Amino acid sequence: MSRFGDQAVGYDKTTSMFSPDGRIIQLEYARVAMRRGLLTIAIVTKEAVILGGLIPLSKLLLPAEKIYQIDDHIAAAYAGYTADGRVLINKARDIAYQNRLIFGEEIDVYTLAEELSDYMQQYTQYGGVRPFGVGIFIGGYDIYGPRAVFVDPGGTIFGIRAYCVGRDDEKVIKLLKERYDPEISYDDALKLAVEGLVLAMKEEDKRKEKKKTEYESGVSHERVLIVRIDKEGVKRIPEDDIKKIIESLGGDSE
Amino acid sequence: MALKYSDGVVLAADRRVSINTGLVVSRTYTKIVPLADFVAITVSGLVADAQKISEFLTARIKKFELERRRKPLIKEISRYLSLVMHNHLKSYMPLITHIIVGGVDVRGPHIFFLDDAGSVVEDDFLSSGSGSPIAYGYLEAAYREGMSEEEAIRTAIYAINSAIMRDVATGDGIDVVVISPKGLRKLSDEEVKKYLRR
Repeated sequence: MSRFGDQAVGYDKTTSMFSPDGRIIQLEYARVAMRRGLLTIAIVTKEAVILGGLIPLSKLLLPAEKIYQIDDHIAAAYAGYTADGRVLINKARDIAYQNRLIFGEEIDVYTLAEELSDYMQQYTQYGGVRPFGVGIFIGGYDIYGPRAVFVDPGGTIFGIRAYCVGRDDEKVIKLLKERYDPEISYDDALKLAVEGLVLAMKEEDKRKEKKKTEYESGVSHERVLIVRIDKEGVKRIPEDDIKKIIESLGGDSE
Repeated sequence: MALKYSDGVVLAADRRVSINTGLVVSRTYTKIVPLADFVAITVSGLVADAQKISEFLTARIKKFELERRRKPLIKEISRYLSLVMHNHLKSYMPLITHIIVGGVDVRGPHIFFLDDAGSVVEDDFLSSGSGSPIAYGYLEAAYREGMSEEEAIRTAIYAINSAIMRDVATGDGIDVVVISPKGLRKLSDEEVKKYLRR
């Protein structure tokens, strides 16, 4: 049955009902909402997790945060509907703090993701609610070393090596597939992350020529936020470093 | 009582259970309870509470391992138990027991002392129960860092033996459990006797 057919009989109206071919159509819409968000990317290397994303830049608005610290050793970033993402960030911080209270130790990255996804899953099984319109990346350094996890709007968890979600993610995923290698050095991975984000900005530019918005366009290091999470904790990559990488890629960074 | 040695921990306890009227309730009670192959507790105080705590902790550790795909740290077990004990105290239903948690995790050997109010104290050697002042007397003099397994076992047995000699509520034999990175081992009576004879 086509999706159009499902819509006609109302299977897309709630998450608490399967379509006859076994899908939850509202969740698929939530994934669409997620992929409308600006690109968010995570790459795991032997020494650290790289978590990055694009932010909208406007003359009139302050820059967004995009990447949030969850605990000393964990950061998270999401793509999709910002208001939903903020709620999940607060929840994640709460889960991390609870673990410190109960066990006196930092929470494992995977455990945090599991507990957060339990919360997200609830919104796919009960009536009267809609699922979260975000996909969230959780990167951290725990007892196992550097690890990153992606949780989709339905609460499915993916342990990841390198992954991205958001506008133009198909093209960037292709780039990651070509260039990622589990043995990748940290410097190469950082370069790869920046390259992915630059690619997304360029794709966006192509569309912007047709349609002007209030947001500034063009490839700019000011639109790129990246953090590094290693055993020392979460650290922002300085703007200048990102600028240098963009320049070395041959792009112009105003 | 429990003490740390170079790469593991030794836990030791007597076998007498008595009530304050002076009656000995049991002469064969095992006060060291293994919770898994890397951690054990020694108990003193109310036997019922101690039994419930060990059963519940054993199950909780299994659940932790399934959920997180790793063994809990000794610190994590101790902090969790302390929260439980504290919550009980604050709801006017205290678990009247003093517990020593000892074991080996990825960070090495650790021992923690917990009381019924929920305090957690980590140390190199610990003792609890009626004979503890006497055991401490020996341990303070005999303990040093980086002992071998054999030295640690001997120290533990001598400490318990001192308490057996001078404390009325301590006696009726010694249990010894050794936890090393290789696993948990309970000493046989013959082995314990050998140490006492020397």
